[in-house]
Amino acid sequence: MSRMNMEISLRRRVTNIVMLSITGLFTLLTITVLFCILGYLLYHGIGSLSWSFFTNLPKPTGEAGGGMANAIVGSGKILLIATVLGVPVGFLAGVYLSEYSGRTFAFVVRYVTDLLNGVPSIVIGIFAYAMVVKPMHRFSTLAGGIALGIMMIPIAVRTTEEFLRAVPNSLREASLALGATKATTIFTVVAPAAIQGLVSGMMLNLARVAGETAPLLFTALGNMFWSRGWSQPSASLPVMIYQYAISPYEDYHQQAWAAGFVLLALVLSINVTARLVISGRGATARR
Amino acid sequence: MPAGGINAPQTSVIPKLRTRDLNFYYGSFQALHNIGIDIASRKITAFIGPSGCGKSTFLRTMNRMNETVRGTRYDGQILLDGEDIRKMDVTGVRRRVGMVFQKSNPFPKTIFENVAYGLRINGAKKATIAETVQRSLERAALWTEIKDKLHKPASALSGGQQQRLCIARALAVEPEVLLLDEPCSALDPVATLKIEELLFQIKETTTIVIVTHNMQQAARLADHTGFFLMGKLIEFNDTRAIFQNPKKKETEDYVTGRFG
Amino acid sequence: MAATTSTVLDRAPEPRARGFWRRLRAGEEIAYLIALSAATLVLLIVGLLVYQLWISSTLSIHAFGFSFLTGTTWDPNAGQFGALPFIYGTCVTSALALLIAVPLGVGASIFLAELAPPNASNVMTFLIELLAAVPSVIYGLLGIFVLVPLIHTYLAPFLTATFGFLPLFQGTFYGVSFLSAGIILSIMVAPFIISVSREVLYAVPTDQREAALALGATKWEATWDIVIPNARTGIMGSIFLALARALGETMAVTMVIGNTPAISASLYSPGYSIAAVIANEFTEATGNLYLSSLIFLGLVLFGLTIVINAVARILILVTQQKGAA
Repeated sequence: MSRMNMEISLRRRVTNIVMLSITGLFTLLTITVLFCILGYLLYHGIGSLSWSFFTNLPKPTGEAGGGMANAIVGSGKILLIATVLGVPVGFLAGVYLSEYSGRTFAFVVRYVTDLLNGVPSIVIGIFAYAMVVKPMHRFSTLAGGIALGIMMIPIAVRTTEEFLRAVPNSLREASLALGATKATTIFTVVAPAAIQGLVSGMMLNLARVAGETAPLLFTALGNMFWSRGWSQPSASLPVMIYQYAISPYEDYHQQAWAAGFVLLALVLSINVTARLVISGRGATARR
Repeated sequence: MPAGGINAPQTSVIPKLRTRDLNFYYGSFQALHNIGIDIASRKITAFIGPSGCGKSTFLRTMNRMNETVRGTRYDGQILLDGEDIRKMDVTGVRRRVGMVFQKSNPFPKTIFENVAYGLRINGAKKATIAETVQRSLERAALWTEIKDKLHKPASALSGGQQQRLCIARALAVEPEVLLLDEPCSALDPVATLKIEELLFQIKETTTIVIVTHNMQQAARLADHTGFFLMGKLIEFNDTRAIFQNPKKKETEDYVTGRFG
Repeated sequence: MAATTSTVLDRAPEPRARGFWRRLRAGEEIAYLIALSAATLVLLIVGLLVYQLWISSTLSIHAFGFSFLTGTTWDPNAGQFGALPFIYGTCVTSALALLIAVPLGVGASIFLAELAPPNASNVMTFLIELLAAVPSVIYGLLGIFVLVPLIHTYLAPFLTATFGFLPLFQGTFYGVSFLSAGIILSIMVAPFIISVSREVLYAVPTDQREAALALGATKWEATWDIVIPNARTGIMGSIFLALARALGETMAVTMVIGNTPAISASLYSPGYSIAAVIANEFTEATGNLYLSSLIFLGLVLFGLTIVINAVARILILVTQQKGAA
């Protein structure tokens, strides 16, 4: 009495297998890309890596033994400023959202924070240029650090709020019951309880801005020599990679690969460590 | 009669569904022990028992729905019209053995498209779809209520209406068996009554197997009832016999409300 | 994020204001004020950002007005600043990126959420999310030295041979082009689509799948016809997220797009994007109008990404609420 196929048609069966296989293929493709990236950097980068890479200043093309010591140190200084700016501001704002604020203001702050998170990094660079470089009349490590620091803030806020909220209220109550003040409770009980998430969140944050190039292009600019102090233009690893990669010189390209390898190794190892720290304690629920 | 052996009510008709020596496992946990049962054609068979007794698990073996969960397996036989369902194509089995779920789960489509979906994927001719949809909705006692709203989203219906929609959806592909897993547990008494009434109608053309935690429902609806306890089929007989003259102490304890 | 009220500390009792206690209370107040200032500082920064962008663009806005967005000539020497080539390039590369990344990403997310065993799925997703952590300049590096030569050797000839009749694939492929930029962007944004879509697919109730299968649907039919529509809003959200990311992407694009303000139907043509031109010409901008025009471009980009991000957030929020209901 049925007007329909009693047996599933070949077309449906084939479609099923083909489409499901395609999804698997796509997944494989995406993962392969990751390994290709790692592979190429390893292959091209390791060969050009040497002691002089880490200790020498850049040399003009053709001369052997050029390095990126200034870029490595420069990145370090810029990231230091970024952390000093971004982490405390982000953390404290996150504390405010989690422990103090009322509904409306919290909504506004959260919305604006998300807004800042979505701002393209080049625009942050423009902002830092207008606020730091122009008044100072010079490009500087400070300007670069401030630009990256601003980029760190939204993620720091979100991470802090999320992990502080996850701390059970019973801990807060226990502390208050002992007579501690709200402030003491937050900084000596709640924050330490969330320390794992907070630290790994900050690590991920740092890894993200460590690879940023665009905002540095017109804040820290670049430097073929050591940058003294904080108010001189400074080389940085990502910017060096960019400049060397687009240059027409083969030996510069080799160094770009080496620097790329170093940068990626740094960023990925921070990433993997941070994520393992989080997942190890089951803070993120995955199926 | 031993609980693990062949349970059959007194009937001489060929059973629609038959299981033999069915043992079912979730990983290393054995959820069903040696279930042997004959489900009579075009009758209502009910499974009762306390929570976790395996009645839903057993229901879901009959349309191979447990296969969608990782780590499940079974040994033994499940026969549909004498054929082992494991040897048949799974989508064919499911077309012939339909299912209605505990909580109504209409697709995020219009009312019409919900009922039409099964028809479309099974290759029904386009010209016949509208007619079949109407017929299914009539069988599910829903047509008059929604005939002007066919192209509104199904989510706009009430809980009871949604469940009847799900029944219509299942009926559209003209299954030989309809499995219902506690279909009224989320509904109010009025909605429940409507569904029970239409099950009586449907039974004329379709074999019905219903799992229910409500004994009175089983007593009202079912021709045959099986009592499950801890993964075993304790007793299976005509409904009247189960409730008025249970042969096993456990059955008697359950139906008289001493536990469960 | 469920609760938006603060934690129990909101109702903590105030310590009494006596000498010793007053000092403690001062600590309370200070902590509160510091936290509040941090939150306000964030608002201030964003406010300043918008203000600065606006103020620095006014020169260009007054000079060109709305025609800035439609002007096709970008000639700094002649004082001509039209933004259309960059808007065009940004749109074309982002569109191409999505064209590739959406099927790729949604397909992969289906595999990860519906087919792969949970442990394998978690590992693979972890690896794919690492892709999102790779810095843009590294993508650019690989773009220049690996991807572009590959496209040159294999893909472009294939495209010209098969689709050369289309205006999309006219002309000679030299390397730097809309095509290369679009492809590299697609790799960069696919992980976002995959990650979010996978979560959204997980959240679809099991009985939706089972209801479809119970009607005799194949696994693919159940997934495509029923599960995906259930997840539609969230997947759209992930696509908008990816789009916002693609629009603002700077380094990888500028390294492979060719940095030529050209408007061409052919994907083989070199082009320019908003972010790329700012990155390249900012430090060389002579004259206030030049700089102001670049910042005006930045303002346009800013506005664009804000809108797209807002849409993405709304879509993802709607999905979460549906799930919670």
